Amino acid sequence: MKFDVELSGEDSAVIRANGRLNLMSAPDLKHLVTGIVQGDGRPNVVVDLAEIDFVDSTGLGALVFGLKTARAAGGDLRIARPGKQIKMVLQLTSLDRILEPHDTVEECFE
Amino acid sequence: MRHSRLQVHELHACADPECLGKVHDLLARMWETSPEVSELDRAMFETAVIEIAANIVEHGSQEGSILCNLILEVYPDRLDARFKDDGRIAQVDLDAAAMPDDFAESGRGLAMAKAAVDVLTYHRHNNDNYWTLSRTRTAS
Repeated sequence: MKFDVELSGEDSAVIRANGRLNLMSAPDLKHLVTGIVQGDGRPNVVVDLAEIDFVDSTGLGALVFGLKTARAAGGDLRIARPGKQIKMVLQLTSLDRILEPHDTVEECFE
Repeated sequence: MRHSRLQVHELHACADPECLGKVHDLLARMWETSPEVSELDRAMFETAVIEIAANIVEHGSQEGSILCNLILEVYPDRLDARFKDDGRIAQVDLDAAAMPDDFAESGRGLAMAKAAVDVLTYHRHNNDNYWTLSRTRTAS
């Protein structure tokens, strides 16, 4: 899985990735979010999921880790443009209560 | 009355992290040859199959490699998966598997698999682990 990071304003960043967020790639996402929030001092993170076609429980765990990391720094982590499988697992696990899917990246900043 | 099988796909591989990609590829081939399976059924079944595969990869390791066999079957009324692996005994209690707290970072895999299919069983026999999954197909 390849990650791209786009800095936004003074305290935000957008992470874009493609492929599968799973047992193999989840540790990379956690490391990346930690670097953005704690290293770069950007506590507001958006994860654009448009090009991610599958998320497993480990991937969900990485998103929860990112959310907790961002909130601990006074920010937030929001998710944008999830596909149908991702929406389904968010509902199945009730994680859509804390990781509400947004239709666009811009909406995450509102 | 039991319906006749429409498709069968089989994978025999080492249960290492790369194996998960092979399971996704096998599922992709199955969906290609069974386009009538609904998107919901695909997403639910694939989620459950991958969670069990990841559990075998993550928790079954011991000295030497683990061999895993996976059979996927499409029936007119259901989707079936059967895993067999020679890893360590799985310390699982499927009846007790439940979603953890929202802010938990782990512990959702088995609960997700259980919620995504209608049948999920595990048993140990002759030093091998056997997992079966079955999802009743929804009307497409």
